[in-house]
Amino acid sequence: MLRSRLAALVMACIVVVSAAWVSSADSRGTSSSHSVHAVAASVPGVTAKQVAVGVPAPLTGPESFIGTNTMSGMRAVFAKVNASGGVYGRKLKLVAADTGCASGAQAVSAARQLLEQDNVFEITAIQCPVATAAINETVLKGTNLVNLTNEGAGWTVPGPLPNPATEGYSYYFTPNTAFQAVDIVGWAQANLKPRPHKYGVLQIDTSYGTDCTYAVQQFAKVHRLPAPVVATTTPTSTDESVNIASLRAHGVDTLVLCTYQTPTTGALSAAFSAGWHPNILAATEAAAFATVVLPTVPRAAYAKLYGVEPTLYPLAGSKQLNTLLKSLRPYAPTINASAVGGILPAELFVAYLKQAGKKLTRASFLAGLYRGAVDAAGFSEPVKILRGDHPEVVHDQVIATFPNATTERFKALVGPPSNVKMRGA
Amino acid sequence: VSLAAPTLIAGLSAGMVYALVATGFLLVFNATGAVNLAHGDLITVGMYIVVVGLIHAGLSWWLTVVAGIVLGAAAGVVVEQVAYRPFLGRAEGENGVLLLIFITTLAVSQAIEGGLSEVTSTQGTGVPPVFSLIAYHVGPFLITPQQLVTFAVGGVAIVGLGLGFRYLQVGRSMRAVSQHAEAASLCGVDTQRIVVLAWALSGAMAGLAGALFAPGSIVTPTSGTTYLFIAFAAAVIGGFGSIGGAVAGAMVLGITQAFFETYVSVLWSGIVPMLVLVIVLAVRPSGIFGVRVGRV
Repeated sequence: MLRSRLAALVMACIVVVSAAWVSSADSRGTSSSHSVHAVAASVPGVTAKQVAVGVPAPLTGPESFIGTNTMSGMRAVFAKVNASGGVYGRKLKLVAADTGCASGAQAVSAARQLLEQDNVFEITAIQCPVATAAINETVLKGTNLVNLTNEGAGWTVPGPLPNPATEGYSYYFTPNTAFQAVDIVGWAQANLKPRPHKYGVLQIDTSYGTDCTYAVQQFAKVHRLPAPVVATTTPTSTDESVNIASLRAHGVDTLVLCTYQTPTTGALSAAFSAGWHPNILAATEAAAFATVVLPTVPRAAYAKLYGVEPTLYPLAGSKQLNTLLKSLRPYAPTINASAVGGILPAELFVAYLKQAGKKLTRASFLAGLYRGAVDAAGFSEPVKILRGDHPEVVHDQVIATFPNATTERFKALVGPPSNVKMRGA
Repeated sequence: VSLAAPTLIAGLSAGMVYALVATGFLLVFNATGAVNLAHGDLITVGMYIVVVGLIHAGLSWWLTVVAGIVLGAAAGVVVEQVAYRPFLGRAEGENGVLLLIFITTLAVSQAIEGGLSEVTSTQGTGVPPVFSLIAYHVGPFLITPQQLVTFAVGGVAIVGLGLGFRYLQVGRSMRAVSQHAEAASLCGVDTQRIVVLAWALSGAMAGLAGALFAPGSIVTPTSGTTYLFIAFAAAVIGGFGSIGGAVAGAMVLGITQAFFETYVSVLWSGIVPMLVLVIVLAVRPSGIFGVRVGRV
């Protein structure tokens, strides 16, 4: 009895193994790639030979130049990557859809077309606030798709997030204004002599300015410093003489600029005109704009300026950007600095694809993304603190690079403003 | 450090800007009785002339100022031909015509903004400063070169206009038309030519204002319209119709707004023109100078 059962079992095993052998023999010769394909086939936009990437960009209307520049930068980077064999053997395919940059509805339609009809793996480089907001809220929310975008204002924390499958539909390449402000203030406390004691903040009256100010206020509280003096202006103000006089009258020794272009130059020139020379810490946009060459503001006005350079937009003419453009010219002969808005997201996207590993799945991509920042073409996520006594050389004087250490400590100590929800914290 | 001195300079500087806008706006009103809602957009046109001339064509700023005046005048005449002249007599009564022109100039305003939005960035174009941003010390005051130029050029334009009205034949004709067009016509004044001239001068003032405001600012398709309401308020405060009154009203608004921003809140300073307007009208309904000017 036992012997007959054993014989039946052996026969069954032989049948199963034979069937498996016959099945594999049908596809012999493509066995290795097929097995990869079998895994990848379940991932939209990914095959053994290709990854399709979608860009919802403004291709028509007044902002179409942004879309055109973005696409030309991305095409150049993808062509360069494809010429060297792609990423783990997969060529990159770029698919665009027109958001118009005017209505959320058109942006949502463009994103849906990319994801549902063109079947892309991921969308990136949206480049338009209206489109970003609409696509995040309508298309990506509640999915495990990620918006890899350039815009980082507000309290949305760049990864890692605890559960990207349910929460992470937005991932910013750049840290937000508040954390950049914390980084530069943290750097100033550790490095400036004499150590700053009384901070003043010049903020614009938008969330960009108020987020930044909130961070400086919380930093001062945590470090038992006097409450910062806050002066408010508008994003387009040019005359900051009264605010500067007010901050000076309050005994401020270190001024944090949470402003855009015109108030930044207004503040620099007003402080210099008044003979007031505090440390000036320029957060994000203020730093970017302060680095624009301004012959109308003398060199000495920049002497104590320290800026955060977190953006993906290095100066036209900078050594860093020129090197990058030179490397792309063989693949895009006419490419110029205006394409930078597409070059850098594309470089970063490629870096994140590499970080995801050879076996590209949604999970491996997210895991790579949330593992941490990448360094692509010299532009890494950690915030750089820069100093320049003259604007055009600022980019050559990186004096400190932070792995967002101050930010991490800060996040552990304080929460977001009460009126906003801080995802992932 | 006292905040009063820099606040006063900021207020006077803003006042001069408002005065330039209000003066141009009143030129058309005085000559025709029409409220030109496209006046702010003509300022925007002046700003974009600077954008094109300075940034794209590499011209000197002074040349763009001249271009702003000339092209602004041309734009003023175009508005007159498109939104004013064809509608004279097309509605019942004088008030009906003026209401119609109110609407047609609003349409022109929308068309200019829409057109500019099509061909430029709605997020704005940054215009580099053309003068040093470092201020001069004048007693307790700090005055930037751009503020000095605005005072000088704006002052010359407004005073020149006032003197022209008083001493030039064409100026006297303009005043005559503003007081009683029919009577002026009977006295041999070519009222049609004078009205066209008023629109041209108004456009030239708008072009000049745009060229003065543009350096160092972010120019958007709606930049100029933000000045229109304030200019309107300044004109009413001064006693609608009087150029001198409008300048005084503009200075009152500029200084009040600056002190409000310094000592109360920058976030609420937008209500100042309305607040001052209501207070002045409550106390003195005819405005500070109370000049009542007739129209066509």
